Order: sequence, then structure tokens, then C-alpha cells
Amino acid sequence: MSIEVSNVSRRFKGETAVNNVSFQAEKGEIVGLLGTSGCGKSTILRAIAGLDNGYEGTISVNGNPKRGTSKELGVIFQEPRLMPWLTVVDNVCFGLAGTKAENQIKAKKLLKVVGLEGFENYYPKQLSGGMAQRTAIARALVTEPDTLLLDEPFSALDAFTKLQLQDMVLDLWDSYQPTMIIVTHDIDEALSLCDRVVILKGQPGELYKNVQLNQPKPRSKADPELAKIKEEILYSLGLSRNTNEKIAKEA
Amino acid sequence: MAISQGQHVEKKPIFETTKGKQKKVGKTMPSVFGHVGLSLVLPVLLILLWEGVTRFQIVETHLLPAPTVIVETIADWAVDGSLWQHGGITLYRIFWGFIWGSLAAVALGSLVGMSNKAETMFDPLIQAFRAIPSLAWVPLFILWLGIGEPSKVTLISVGVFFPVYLNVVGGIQSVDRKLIEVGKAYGLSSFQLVRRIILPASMPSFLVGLRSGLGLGWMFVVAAELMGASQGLGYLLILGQNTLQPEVILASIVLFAILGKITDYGLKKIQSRVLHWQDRIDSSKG
Repeated sequence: MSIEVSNVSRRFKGETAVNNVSFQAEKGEIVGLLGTSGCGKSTILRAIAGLDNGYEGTISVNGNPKRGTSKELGVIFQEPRLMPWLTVVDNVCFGLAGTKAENQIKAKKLLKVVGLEGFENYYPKQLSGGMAQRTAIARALVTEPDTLLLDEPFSALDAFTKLQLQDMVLDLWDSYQPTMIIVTHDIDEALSLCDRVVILKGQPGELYKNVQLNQPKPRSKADPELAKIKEEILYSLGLSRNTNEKIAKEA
Repeated sequence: MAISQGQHVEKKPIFETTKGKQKKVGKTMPSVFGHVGLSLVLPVLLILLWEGVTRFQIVETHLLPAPTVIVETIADWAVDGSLWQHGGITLYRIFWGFIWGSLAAVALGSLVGMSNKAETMFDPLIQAFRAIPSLAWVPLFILWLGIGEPSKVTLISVGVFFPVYLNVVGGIQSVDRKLIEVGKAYGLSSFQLVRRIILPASMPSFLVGLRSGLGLGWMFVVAAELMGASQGLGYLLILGQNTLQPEVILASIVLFAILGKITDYGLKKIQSRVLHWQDRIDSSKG
């Protein structure tokens, strides 16, 4: 068991944002946290990452309950969050402890993997959104964490870059199989990347459903099986047009 | 003849390029000269006008001497050594005032910026002191520290202190919370957060503070030297007034302008070198 979230609740100033959520992620599994905005997906991820310790319940990483940050976790945020005063390669080295020369070698290797070879000495202001996010992904991967937490990592990118980076993440996963927890509001993204989708719903957010996806990856976007699951998820979130029409007819 | 030919040869391609799809785009040298030239047009015209009205006795020269007279005065000072003596002592005062004022501002500013407790303890008091016009301290400093250098340096450092302090506090408090979170996610200690994120991120604001601190420093060095000094550019202002020599006053004003500009230019160079990573409008303007 890589990540275990049990009975986690979070209140902000008396108002409950997340209510009693429990789920697990097996080692090497890609779990999607899916839900409409305001249902507390990011809150849960921040609790797992150790950036927010005001929650109730327990979170265990590799069997050890913990509060606070951990070297076993890598975080990728919605924005790249690069240090503007560091070059690309120094940004990637940010979380590394070793000697500078060793770090640079590791970072350069990883920059090659994410397709940023030759951009090592650029500053963040010179990068496009996609390149900046690739740098952020490299920064999270370079410490070789066994779990990656991704908080809507591609939602600020254009559609093409998004598809490219999703493929890249799958390739990276193939190469060393980290556990991943991806917060997303994009059902297509969840369906193409995840082994399991945890659906949160309501305000306060509660766990609504676990959807297992056994289709082999990479998956075709046009897979009829996936389309059916998508419809089900939309339906359960009350977002399907068919259901809306049904309700309208009944009224 | 040769000149007119040269002009003719030069004109032709320009005319052609405007006609057919501008070919010369990346030529930077002429545009730099054009820029400098344009900014010089007005000052040169004004100086010529000034020289003109004094040369033809339209204004009284014992009140407004000609620019050439002012330049001569400065040249005389340079020859007899008083330029280095007076300029040197003024620079000495502003240097130490600037150093002490900035050091105190960085120390107190970072304390107040980092810790909420320090902010509630120190900030109201410092803001109250800020409300006192700094020149009001002059009599007290002279009384306490005498008429020598310490009272002047102290006054200048008081002037430098406030802009630097405000910018250090502001810079630290406005560091992007999201970047700090990245540091926390990597488990950095408080000290490491300061060194690796807060310090570099507040650098732009700090340098702005240093520049406006230096500007105030020049203001205060004049004030300090106007009130009881026997040396310095500010002393020359008073000397010119008492001996009815406007060229002395104007010459030292010109020297203040030149020295102020040079020191600010130096800080500006440091600023753009340290902050080359900043994403600013003028960096893309080219």
C-alpha cells in the first residue's frame, strides 16, 4: 500500500470542506481524484502532500502515518511554480541535496526525457506554458519519489500541449512506475491516464464512487467502453445532458 | 562636393527600402544614436538659449551666469584641487550614511518582514518615527554629536533608512506564497526557505528601496551641509550665497546632479545585472 487516506475531514473556519474521505492507492497505481469544482479534491491532495496539516483523520505513506511533507512524495502543481531567478536546469535541481555537479548531470538527463534538451540555461520568463510545466515535472521527478501528487497539472495548458504531456506522463510512468494521484476535473484526462477514478461529490465533498478501469494503456479516446463509463460518470455527477433532458421532460 | 555626394549615395538606398518592403530591420547602431540624439535635443537647445540670453545681456549676469562661466568655475576648482576636496567629503558622508542606513534597514526590515511578533512590536514605532520630518532631527543631532562628521552621517542614514526599510518589509511580505509552498514540499527548513526563496524573491523590491534610499541620501547630504559645514558641495552653496557668487551655487548644483546621476546609474547597473531574470516590459522592448 503506497498511500492510505482514512477518514480525512477538513474544516475551514467551521465550514466543512471535505467530509470523512477514505481511499487507497496501491504501489504503482495511477489514481484519479475527480469531481466538480469546490468538492475538496485539491484540499485532499494538499493534505497528502503535507502542505496543509489542519485535517482530521490519518494519512499513511508506505504504511507509516505522517503529517507534514515527506521525501517520498513529489508534487506537481497546477502552475509550474518555477523560481524565476533560476535557470531551467537549476530549477530542476531545486529539491536535490547532493553536490552541484552530480545534480546537474541528473537534471540534464531528466530534461532530455521531458524533451527540453538545449533549454538548460533558459530562464522561466523565456519558456512557454508547456515548457515551464515540463520543467516542473522534471523537478518533481528528479528526486525519484515513489509517489507523485499532481494537482490539475495540465488544466492551464492548451489542448494539444495537454495531450502531449499526458502521453509523456504515461511514458514516464512506464519507465519507473511510481504511484500517482492526479487531481483533475477533466473526465477525459482521468479516463486516459488512471487505473482507478475516485469520484468526489457535493459540498462538503464526500467520496461518491470508485471506478475501476482495466483497459490497457495507451487507450484510444474513441473506445466505446470508455465512452460508456464517461457517460456514467457524467450521470453520477448530474452533468449528463441526457439526464437533464429526462428531468426536463418529467417536469 | 564630396559631402553632398556622400549624402546622395546614402539617401538612395533609404528611399528604396521605404519603397520596397523594408530590408534593414536589425540595424541597432543608428537607432541607438537616434535615441540618444533625440534625448539631447531639448537640453542642448536650452543651454544654447541660456548662453544666448546671458551673452547678449538680456538677463543680468551677476544673478544668472552663463553656462560657460559655470563650466569654467568647475574647471578652476578641478585645477586648484578644491573640487576633489569638497566633492570627496560629500561622497564620504553619503557613502557612510548610505551604508549605515541600509544596514540598519535590512536588519530591522527583515526581522519585521519575517516575524509577525516583531512586526507588532517594532512596526508601529518605526512608522511613528517616519512621521517626523527627518530634518527636524538636525538640531538634536548637532547637540548630541557635535558639528563634525558623526551628526551628518547620522542624519543621512536616517534619510536612507526609511525607503530601504519599507521596501525590505514589503518585498519580504509579498513573496509569492506558492513558491514558498514548493520549498515546503521539498522539506526545506525555515533558514533554507529564507536563503533559497525569500531572499532572491524579495531582491527586486530591496534594490528599488536602495535606489530611492540613495536619492534621499543626496537630499539629506545637502541639508546636512547647509547647516554647519566647512567643507562639501553643500557648503559651497552657502559660500556662493554669502559671497554673492551665483556661479559657485550653480556649479555645485551641477556637481550634485552629476554625482547623483552617476551613483544612481551604478545602482541601476547592479539592479539590472542582479535582476536579469525578471520578466519586465522594458526587457522585451529591446
